[in-house]
Amino acid sequence: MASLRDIRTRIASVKSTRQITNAMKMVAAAKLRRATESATNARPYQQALTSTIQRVAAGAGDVEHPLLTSRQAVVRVAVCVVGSDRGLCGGFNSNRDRRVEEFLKAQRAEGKEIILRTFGKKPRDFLRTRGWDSVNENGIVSARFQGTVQAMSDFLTNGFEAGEFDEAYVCYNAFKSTLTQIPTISKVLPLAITATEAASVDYTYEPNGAEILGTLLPLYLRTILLQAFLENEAGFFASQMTAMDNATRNASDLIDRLTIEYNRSRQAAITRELIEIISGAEAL
Amino acid sequence: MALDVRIVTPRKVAWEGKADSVQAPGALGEFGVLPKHIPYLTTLVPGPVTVHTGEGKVRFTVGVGFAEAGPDRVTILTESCEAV
Repeated sequence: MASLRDIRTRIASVKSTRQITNAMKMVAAAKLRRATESATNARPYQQALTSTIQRVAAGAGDVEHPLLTSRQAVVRVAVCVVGSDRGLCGGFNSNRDRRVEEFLKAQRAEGKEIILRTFGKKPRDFLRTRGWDSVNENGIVSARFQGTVQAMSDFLTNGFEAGEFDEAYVCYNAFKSTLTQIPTISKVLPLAITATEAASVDYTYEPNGAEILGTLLPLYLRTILLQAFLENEAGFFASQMTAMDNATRNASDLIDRLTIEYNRSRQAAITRELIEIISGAEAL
Repeated sequence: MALDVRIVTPRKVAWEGKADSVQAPGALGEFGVLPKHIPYLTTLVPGPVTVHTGEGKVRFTVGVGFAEAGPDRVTILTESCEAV
């Protein structure tokens, strides 16, 4: 059995670990609140943009736009993986990375060439060790992702229009709730727009429907990407919070167990000493 | 009669309220919206937006986006909006 002093040191060290995980939990909770808030703030814009695009698409009839056109032969696909720079967040990254790898294998099995781009250190490191080469790597730069989203949408639109790839996918964790994030792979290019029934009022379009659509589509793409980043961030903090909460609870359990062990061995030592004294006295 | 004006960015709703008229930089030139405007949709180029309310003018500088106007409302969606 470990000596009393050993147990005492272990209790002290587990206690300080618990303090750290508890602090991380609080920080993650605060950041989660901010992240969900900015996701909520982004919603009115997304809704208004989506409904306008649908209306314009319905009103403009058969529109041809490079970003909307699906290619007949899909030879190369671009895959953007959005993850986190840091760990200590439970299965957040590994769940998604596993799905991504399955997806990549399936695409390769179909004979497609893959252009991979990662956002965040974690997916980059994972995919690199698994031997998937990515063309370009970005860390996640927060500041509400303006630069990152811009870089990603430029990469996607330019590459798509130049014919470097025929389809583009974005992989991220969709934020369902604090406890569930769903690894999601969604096709972003060519853009899919469902034209709703034409609005009851006739709009005057300036310059004209098709040109407006041309302006709106890049905005729409950026909105989709921003959405992915915001949900990814919220999911990251949610999952970090949950992971740290579990760690704190485990540390508390461990401390309880160690304390019991400590008390037992203290008791045992006292009993042993008593026996020694008594038997010493009897011998006299 | 007043217009319900909303200026929305991906970050937040930048401005919301009642106004008498709105001026904005459309793709084909600057335009103004008064109440009872016909349903109108245009893209915006970066430039100044002026909202005339009963109490005075509110000015913004907006980025690319679009504006939707109707008889009693104006919605401006833009990627960036700064109050001037």
